[in-house]
Amino acid sequence: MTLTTTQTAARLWDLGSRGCSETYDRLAKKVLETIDDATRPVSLGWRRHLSDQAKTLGHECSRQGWDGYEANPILPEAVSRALLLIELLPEGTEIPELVPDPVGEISFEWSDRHDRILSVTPRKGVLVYAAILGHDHTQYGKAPVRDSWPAEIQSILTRYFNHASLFTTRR
Amino acid sequence: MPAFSQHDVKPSERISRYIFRKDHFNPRTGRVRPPVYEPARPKNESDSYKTSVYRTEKLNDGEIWDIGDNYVTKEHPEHLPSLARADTQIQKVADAELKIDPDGIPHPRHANIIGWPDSDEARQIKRALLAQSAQLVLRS
Repeated sequence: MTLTTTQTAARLWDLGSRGCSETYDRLAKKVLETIDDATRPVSLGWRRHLSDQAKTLGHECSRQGWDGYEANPILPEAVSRALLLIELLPEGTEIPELVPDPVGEISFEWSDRHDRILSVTPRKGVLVYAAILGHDHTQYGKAPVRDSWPAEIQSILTRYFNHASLFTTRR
Repeated sequence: MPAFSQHDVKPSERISRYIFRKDHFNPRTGRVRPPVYEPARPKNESDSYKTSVYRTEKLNDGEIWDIGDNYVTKEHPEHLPSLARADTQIQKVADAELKIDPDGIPHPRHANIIGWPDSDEARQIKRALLAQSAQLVLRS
């Protein structure tokens, strides 16, 4: 059976929370191969750039205390989670900043000149998110990842952090 | 250094969090990333989430960096140098429904931001609020 990237991602995400190492490794390898596919169109280059950045963060932050305090190490499983999320990022979304997170994960961050911010941190099986979208306007929560980014987060991305929104009036 | 009272905590006081990673701030926008304020996990059942900060009101820049060098960098196994700091006011901590514990250890000006909730998502929004309130100060 041939799995699509999305199917593989969803399975890997679920397995990541169960710790099924052999299957996890096999699927992780497939995802990494997919991301490294040299035949990708140039328009997808930003995904490769982010993927490279995630791998670099995994190397740089693999030790306890990498933040100068007591940060948890960013382990290969956390890098895999970030790679999957990069692969699943909706088209049209503004390119996020990848930020090493002391919880031992790689966070995704969007911000704009209006002081809006969306910070998303993967955890095993879920995404934890917080958004400051205006004065007294915050949203936060957690949502499971299946074959795409959770609808709650996609809604924020579509409204505030997509390429089209750069050309429209935002409240 | 000027006279300083460990237990006299004023809402208008400045608190500083030292930053050791260049990807934890954006010098172009002056923005501090939310993970800067991620609290350390509780070490045992009687412990709680806490973020280490220093109360730096009425200190000059050199004195503030000296505290970071001597009480954060020197104490850390890798002796990472601070690259910047996030300054905010104690009032902003209260606005995020968090508290300050002026424990004075290992330095009289040391404090912890405490009162962090147990849920990941509630901590996520509080650290974002603190980061948004903070002023980035780069080390020259």
